Amino acid sequence: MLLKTKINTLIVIFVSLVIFYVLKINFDKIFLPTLSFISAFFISGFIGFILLFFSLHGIKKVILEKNILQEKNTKVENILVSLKKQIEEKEKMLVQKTESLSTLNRINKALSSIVDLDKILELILDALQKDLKFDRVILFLSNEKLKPKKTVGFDKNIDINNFVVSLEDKTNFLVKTFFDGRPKIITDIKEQQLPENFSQIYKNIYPNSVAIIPLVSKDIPVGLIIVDNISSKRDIEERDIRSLSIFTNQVALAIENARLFEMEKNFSQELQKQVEIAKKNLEIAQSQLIKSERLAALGEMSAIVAHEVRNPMASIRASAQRISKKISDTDPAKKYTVFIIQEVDRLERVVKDILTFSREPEPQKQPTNINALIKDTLYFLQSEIKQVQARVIENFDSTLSNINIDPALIKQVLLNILQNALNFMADRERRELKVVTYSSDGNIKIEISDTGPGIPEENLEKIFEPFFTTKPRGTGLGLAISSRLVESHKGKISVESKLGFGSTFTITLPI
Amino acid sequence: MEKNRTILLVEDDTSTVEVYSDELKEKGYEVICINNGREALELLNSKKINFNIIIIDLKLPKMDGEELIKKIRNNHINIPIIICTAYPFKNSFKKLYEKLTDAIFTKPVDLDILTNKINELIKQE
Repeated sequence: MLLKTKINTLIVIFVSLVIFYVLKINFDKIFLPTLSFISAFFISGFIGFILLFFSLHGIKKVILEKNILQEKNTKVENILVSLKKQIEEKEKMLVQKTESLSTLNRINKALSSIVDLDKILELILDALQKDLKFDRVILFLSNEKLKPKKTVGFDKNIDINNFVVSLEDKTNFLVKTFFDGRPKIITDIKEQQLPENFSQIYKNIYPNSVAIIPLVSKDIPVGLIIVDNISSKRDIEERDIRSLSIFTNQVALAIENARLFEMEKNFSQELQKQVEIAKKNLEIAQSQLIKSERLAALGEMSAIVAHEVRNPMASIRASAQRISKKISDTDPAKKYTVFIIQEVDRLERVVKDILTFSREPEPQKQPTNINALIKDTLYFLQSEIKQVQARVIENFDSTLSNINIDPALIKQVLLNILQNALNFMADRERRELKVVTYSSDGNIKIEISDTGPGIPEENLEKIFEPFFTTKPRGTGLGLAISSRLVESHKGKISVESKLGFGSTFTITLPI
Repeated sequence: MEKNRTILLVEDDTSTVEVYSDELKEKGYEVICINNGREALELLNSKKINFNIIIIDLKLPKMDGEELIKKIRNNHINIPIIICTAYPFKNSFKKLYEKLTDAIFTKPVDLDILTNKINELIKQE
C-alpha cells in the first residue's frame, strides 16, 4: 500500500511538472515571464493537489478497510484463542472425568471382587487424593465411637489413633455432621471448633479448605471423611462436594458389602459349626449305640460264660475243700488243695470283673456320708495297709454334706484305686497313702495320692481302658470298671502322675 | 451233729450235687437231690417229706429256679430257701430274691460258709 502511495505521489508530481511546463510555454507567449511562471506554478500546483487528493482518497479508503479487517481478524483470533483455551479446559476436565470414571469403575470392580474392606477403602482414599486432588483425607468408621480407619497425605509421625471421637459428645461439630448426614465445608475453623485433639493436624489450615462428608449406608450413618487442601490452600467448592459424594457413596456401599459379607461369612461359619456339632453328636450317639449294643452282647455272653465256668469251679473248689479237710496239715498234698482253692477264687474275681464291666451299672442311690464311706473302705483294707506298712493320711472336709450315691458301687471304686495304690507302693521306700476330700463348684472331690512309681505319660490315657494292666496278676478291668461306675453317677475320674514320685487319682461326684 | 434235718438240693450240675450232698450228709443232714424245678415243686406240694431247708440253683431244666421259688412262696410253703447260683443277676432281681429267700450265694461257694448259713437258719426255726 505504501509503495502504491509513493508511486501515485510520484506520478502526480510528474503530471504536475508536465502541466507546469506546458502552461509556462503557453503563458510565456501571453504574459511576462515572471507572471507566467507564477500562474503556471499555481495552476499546476492546484491541479497536482487535486490529483493527489483523489489518488490519496482511494488509498485512505483501502487503508481504512484494511484496518477494519485487521480489527476483525484480531477479534476472531481472540475468539479462537479463548475457544482453544476452553477446549483445552474441557479436555482437561474430560480427562479428569474419565480418570474419575475409570477410578470409579476400578472401585466398582474391586467392590465385586475384593471382599477385604481395608483394600477397598485404601483404593477409594487414593482416588480422593489423586483424582479429586485433595491434599489429605482421613476416614472414620463408627462403632460406638468415631474411629479413624485410614488416611492419605498425612505425616507418618502422626498417630491417627489419637483422633477417636466419642459419639456421646453431641456438641462436637464432627458428631453433629455425622448424625446430620449432610456434607459441610468448614468456612470458619474457629467458630466451628474441630475437637481439641484435632488441632495438631489442622493447625495450619485455612477456612474453606476443609470439608466433612458423612458416610451413610441405607439411611444409617456409618462413618465420615474429612478432606482438606492444607498445602494447595485451594478452596473446596460445592462442585468438589458433588464429586466427593460419588466416591463416598462407594465407601458406604463397600462398608455395607463388607458387613453383608461378614454376616454371610459368620452365618455360613455358624452353619458349618452347627453341622459339625450335629455330625459329632450323631457320631457320638452312633458310637454309643454300637458300644451299648456291643456291651449288651458282651453282657449276655459273659453271663453265659460265667454260668458255664462257675459250675465246674463250684465243684472243683468244694472238692478241693473236702480233700483239704480230710488230709492232715503235714500232708504234702495239702498245699495243692490250697492252691486249687486260691486259684478258683482268683478265677472267680476275673469272672466277676468281666461281669461288672460288661454290665451297665444300675446305681441304687441313697444319701451317703462320703467321709464315712472312705473310712469304712480303709478299714476294710487294713490288713493290706499293714502288710504294705503304708502310712495313711486322712484329710477330710468334715463339713461335706451327704451325697446321693450308690455306696456299694462307690466303695468298689475306692477299693480299686486304694488297692492299686497299695500294690504299687509295696516295694517303694516311701509309702504314703493320702486321701483328701473337699467340695468344689457343686462337686465333691476325693483325691487319692500314693508315693508309688508313677505312671509313664504314654500310659496315662490307657489306664482307664479295659484290659490294660501293668500288674502281673491284674485283669486290666479295675480302673475301667471304676471309671464306668463313677460315670454312672455323672461324675468322672482323672489322674495326675509324676514318674518316680507317685500318682493322684481324683474322683469328682456331683452333689 | 444235726439229726433228722432234711435238706432239698435242687441242682442240675451232677458233680456239684455230689460234693455238696456229701458234705451236708457228713454234717448229719438228710439230703434229697432233684435235678429239675418241676419235680422239686411236685415233691414239695405233696408234703411227703418235711424239709428244713431248700437249696436252689436258678438255672434249672423244666422249671427254672425263679419260677420254682415264686411257686413255693405262692403255695405258702415257708421253708427257708438258699439260692446257690452260677448265673449272674441284676441288682433289681437281687432285691426280689432277697424278699423271697433267706440267703443268696454265688458259686463257687465256700462249703463252710454254706453249712454255717444252714446251721444258722435251722437254729432260727
